[in-house]
Amino acid sequence: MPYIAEISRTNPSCFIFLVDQSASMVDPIGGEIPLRKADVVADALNRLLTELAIRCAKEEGVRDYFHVAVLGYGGRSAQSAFGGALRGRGLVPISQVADHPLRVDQRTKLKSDGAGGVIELKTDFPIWVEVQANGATPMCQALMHARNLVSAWAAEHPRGFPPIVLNLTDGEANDGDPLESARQLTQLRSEDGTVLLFNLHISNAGGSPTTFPADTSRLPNVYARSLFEMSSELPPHMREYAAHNHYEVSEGSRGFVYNSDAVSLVQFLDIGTRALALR
Amino acid sequence: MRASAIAYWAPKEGSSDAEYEDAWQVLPATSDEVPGDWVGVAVADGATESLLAGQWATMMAGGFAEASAAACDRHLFAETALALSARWPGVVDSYIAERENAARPLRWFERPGIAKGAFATLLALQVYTDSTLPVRLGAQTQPGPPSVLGSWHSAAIGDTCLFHVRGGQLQVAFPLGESADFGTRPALLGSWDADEDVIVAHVRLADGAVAEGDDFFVCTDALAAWFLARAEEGGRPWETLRDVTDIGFAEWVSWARRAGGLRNDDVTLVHVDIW
Repeated sequence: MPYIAEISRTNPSCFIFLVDQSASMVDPIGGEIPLRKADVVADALNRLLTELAIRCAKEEGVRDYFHVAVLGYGGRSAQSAFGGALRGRGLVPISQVADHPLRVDQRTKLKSDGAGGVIELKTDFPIWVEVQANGATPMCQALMHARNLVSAWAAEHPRGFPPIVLNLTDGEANDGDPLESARQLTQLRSEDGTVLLFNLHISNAGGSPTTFPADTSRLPNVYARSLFEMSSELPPHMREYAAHNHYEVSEGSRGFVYNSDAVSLVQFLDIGTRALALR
Repeated sequence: MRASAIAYWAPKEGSSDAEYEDAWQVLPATSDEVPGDWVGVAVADGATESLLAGQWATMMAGGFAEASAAACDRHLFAETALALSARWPGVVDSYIAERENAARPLRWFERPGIAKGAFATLLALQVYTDSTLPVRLGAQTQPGPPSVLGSWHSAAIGDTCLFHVRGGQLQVAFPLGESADFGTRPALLGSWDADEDVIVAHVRLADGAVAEGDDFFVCTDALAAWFLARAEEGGRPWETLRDVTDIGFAEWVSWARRAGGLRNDDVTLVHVDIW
């Protein structure tokens, strides 16, 4: 059965994030709060990296269960979107990612006080990638760049959990057919299965937020349907974990999220016994 | 007491001894001949995805081996757990102070885990023998069922397991009975747990008689899953575990991880042998 390889420091996996930084990302997504697609995508990416580092944290530091790359694509190129000490780097051990955010902001979140009111809590919000939006959308180039990274990784880690690529975009590629590039990427494999390509689609096309659909019936436009087609099916244990967390999933559910939260994708991976309180 | 109690442990391959996050306690002591008429065992398995899990598992194993009545009663079990979690804020304060004194204050990626708390599974086993029992029941001179020497009680939360073997047969597998029952989401006792009712609802209890020749094996999840899988295939895993020695355990674990179907995880085994 595929997708069962242990994820550990001696057998790590890799995560490649692709971030759409094209001009179309300055468009607002609609709704009451005036957010641009680029803001939503940068936030989602920084939250994903935060969650990944927290899941790997132990007393002695962050354990390198994953190596992580962040590729930004906008204008004519797709290249490392890391800044600061990680500038220009490809796959980086998660401990180094955790050690080198550009800065750590403080954000306020509201939490129930248990008596009908809310209290404000300050939380750390590390930033690795700033909001950017320029030029065209070379998504195919980004997928091919990811393919090169994955190919080298899989050769060095043949028994690892298959690499995971998560593409955060509004879906408006203009350097070719991303389906073909995605197909080439997802043909690569480790002994444990083929590369998993997931997509977070941020759009102003309206329609209901959708998480892990098994078909295109609720998707609002051609971009969403194209990204759905590119997305890998969730492996059985990820689907099971999604169901346990009250997501509506079925056989054929894909790693595709439309205008919703994708942080759960990081939580689906097993790195040991989960820390869950009794309920 | 006509019993030996021996503990073995090995960290996950690729981890150091300091990173071992199971914990065990045997009272009054591990010994080839346990003094007195009682042996208390507690084994805990700290959850990988929590911080200070090893420390929490050690507190739990120590507390539950000592609290003999907690293995027989859900409410006493919950009270024991809550008494331990009441000490947790002090543990966290000391840890934070220690890190600050060492000029290594907590980093942003540790704070959420510290706030969430540590988690561990727990199995407590109490074995009592009464040396006068065979005499009072009538000492056996003919072959037949082995003499009853006393009783055992166990309580568990999660997937640390007890196997009771008698006469070459697996009598009890507790609290999990099949190798397919293991996963990455066992029930766990949390260091911030404060609700007695929730703990009471999750505790599982078991008990039985102790007889001459009985073996009790308490195993953390990877070894327990291996044990049940071998038993399901018609094997006699208890014979393998009976034969391990202190020196040979690490070697056997290493072999079993490579070729014998043992999942790579921290491994703990406590063997109580009644003779």
